[in-house]
Amino acid sequence: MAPPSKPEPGRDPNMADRARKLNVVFALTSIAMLVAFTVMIWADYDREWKKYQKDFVRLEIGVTQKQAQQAKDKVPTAQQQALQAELDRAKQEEAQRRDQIKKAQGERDKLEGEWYAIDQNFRFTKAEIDVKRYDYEEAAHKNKGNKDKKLADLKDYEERWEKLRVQLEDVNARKDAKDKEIAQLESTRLDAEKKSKELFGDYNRYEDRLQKIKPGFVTTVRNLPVLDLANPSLKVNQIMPANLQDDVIFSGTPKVDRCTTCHLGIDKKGFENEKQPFKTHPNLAFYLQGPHPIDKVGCTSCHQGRGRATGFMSAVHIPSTAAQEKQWGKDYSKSDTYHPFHFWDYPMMAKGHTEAQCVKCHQGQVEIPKAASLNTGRLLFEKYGCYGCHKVKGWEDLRKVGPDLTKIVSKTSEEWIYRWIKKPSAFRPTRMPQVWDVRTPDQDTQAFLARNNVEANAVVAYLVEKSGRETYPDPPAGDLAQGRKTFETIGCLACHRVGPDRRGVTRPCPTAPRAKAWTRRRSAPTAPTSTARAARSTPAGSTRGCATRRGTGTRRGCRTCA
Amino acid sequence: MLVYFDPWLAGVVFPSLIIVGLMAIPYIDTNPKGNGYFTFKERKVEITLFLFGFLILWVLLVTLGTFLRGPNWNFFGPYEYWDLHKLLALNNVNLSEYFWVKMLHMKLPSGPLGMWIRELPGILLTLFYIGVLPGILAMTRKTWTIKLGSRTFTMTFGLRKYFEKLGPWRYSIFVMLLLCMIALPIKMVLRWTLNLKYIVSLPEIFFNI
Repeated sequence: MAPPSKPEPGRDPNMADRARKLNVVFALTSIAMLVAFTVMIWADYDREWKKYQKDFVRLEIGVTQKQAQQAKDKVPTAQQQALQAELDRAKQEEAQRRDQIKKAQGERDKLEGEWYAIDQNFRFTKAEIDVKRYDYEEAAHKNKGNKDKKLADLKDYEERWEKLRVQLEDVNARKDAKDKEIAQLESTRLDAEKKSKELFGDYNRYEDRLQKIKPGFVTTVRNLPVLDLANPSLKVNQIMPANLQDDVIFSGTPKVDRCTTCHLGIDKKGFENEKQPFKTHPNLAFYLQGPHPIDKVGCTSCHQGRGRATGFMSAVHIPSTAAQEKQWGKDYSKSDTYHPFHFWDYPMMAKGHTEAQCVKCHQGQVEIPKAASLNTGRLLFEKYGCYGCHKVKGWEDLRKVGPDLTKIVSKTSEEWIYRWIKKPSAFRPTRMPQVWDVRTPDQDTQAFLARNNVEANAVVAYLVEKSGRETYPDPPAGDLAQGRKTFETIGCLACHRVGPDRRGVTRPCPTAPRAKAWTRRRSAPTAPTSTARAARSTPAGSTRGCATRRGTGTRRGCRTCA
Repeated sequence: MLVYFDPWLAGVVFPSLIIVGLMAIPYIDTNPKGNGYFTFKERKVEITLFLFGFLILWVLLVTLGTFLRGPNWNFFGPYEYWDLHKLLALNNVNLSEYFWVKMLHMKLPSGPLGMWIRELPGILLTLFYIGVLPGILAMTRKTWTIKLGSRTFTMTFGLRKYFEKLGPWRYSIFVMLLLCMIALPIKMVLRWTLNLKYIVSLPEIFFNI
């Protein structure tokens, strides 16, 4: 049996029904596509940074209004009134001369038209001269065409040009004269306006700024979806510092910092007390407007983070406190802790850590200004010899901070080495780290403690075994007389005494009576006092060591003086 | 086109119109004459218009632009040496300058509405070209017969016949496409003869025609 033949298109009885179904499918898919398209445009339009920019406009209007008012209040009221009176008087005077001024301005406009025509003719003739000169030089060079005629033509144009130049000078002179005449007629008003401009310079500047930033109908239209492709007021701001690059592994891309898209008040005065992201940068004169200009350094050179980002998360903000981390977790990560964007290798430096980036440019500088933490850190890094284990650029070839142990046994003993390495701080304050017995008491079990001793002993054995021995020659025998002479002349006696010698001591120590009473209370059989010892040991009549030898006063306990 | 028109017209509007216009041809010209056979007599105007657009404005201009334009976009005759240093004065003037400075001996209007007043002649002319001219053409049909020896030539002005044949909608689209197409040679001729740069020149808002 032959299969049923397929009906021909024109003769298919179900075709109309199928077409209706197809129309429904087409309609539904078209609607779905329209919705998807609309959602896509909205998603592209609705950006996080736009909200910040709108908030900042409101903030800036408030701040600028305040600044304008302050600038206005600076001008004394009497001065304002006097200026207003002067302006009114000037306007009255000008009204009386209105016909004269109008006539002069009409003449001035005519002159302007005349000047425009002559100037255009002058410039066009110059262009023609260049063409004629080219034609002539080509003809002369190649000896082709009628070069004499071309030369004559060129001369003719040059003469015309010269005439036009004279005309232009003439019309310029007439224009200047007319300008002076008009200025003379309007001088009173112009003077008053000049004064007003000088007096209200700051105020006018703030007012102009206000007019510029106040949102209105035009601004709204400029910012509508799709229309915002032309010239929107809400737009991404970016800084592209020349010759700076971001390292994106295997290649460098030009640095582009878009941080100012949200941090809109960063380089403006007047936002010092606002919340982030609108706060003014601290110490503007030293950073953005000083030796670190924002257009040359950018933001991420110092702060790190992802400069091209225009969102909080994608810029890789890093919290500086635990509370902030928790809050950001709630606001941005929808969890208890904040999870920063981890696709960027250089997360932003948390507040207070930015100084770490100074060394990028300030390599080899002994002390970096305004970077106290960094300077201290570098000093400690050097002092404790961190570079011994941690390789850091610029610190590679320095000597090691610890002493050479090659001949350690020449000066120390095994016992001493053992005590020293077990607990260096027990011997004296030192930067030598303690390696053993550093666990908390609950961790340090007897087994661990025993093992520590074994390890320390092993290290001692190794050091002693490897140590060379240095032999030192015996010092020469001392000379008693020379020694005494030196002792008495180089100032040892200022602090020390030897034997019964009490030179220079004229009165008891202020704390001596109390000390005496204390010793008496504590010990019944008292040892002979120093005075008694001196009295016993100094032979009668001897003046050795006595200051009175030179007749400078008496001394207690000195027999000669007594 | 970029030599004679502002980039947004020459680069965006006109190319779009050319594509849309070519797509619209079957819907504007529904005359079945000529289907399946070649005829010129029955489709004189249609074929002439098409060939003007295709041969003159496309093929000829591409040929001239390729072979006769030399260094610095200067025009060179056939076999002329392409001299890098050739100079041509480009002393082109806007319509507003012709009107205010050359005709009325006035300065160009300035002030807040200055640019609109300055360009008013050009704006009115453009509005006339795209707004009034189609209406005039729709209402007019004048025919002149010229005898040259034994042959007679008929010249017709006006598109009344087409307005009646196509109806207002199709006629409007047809006439707009036609006027846009003819604007190119008009502008070229004005540049060559009068050194006219722009009919409407509003650089303040980046708009020139």
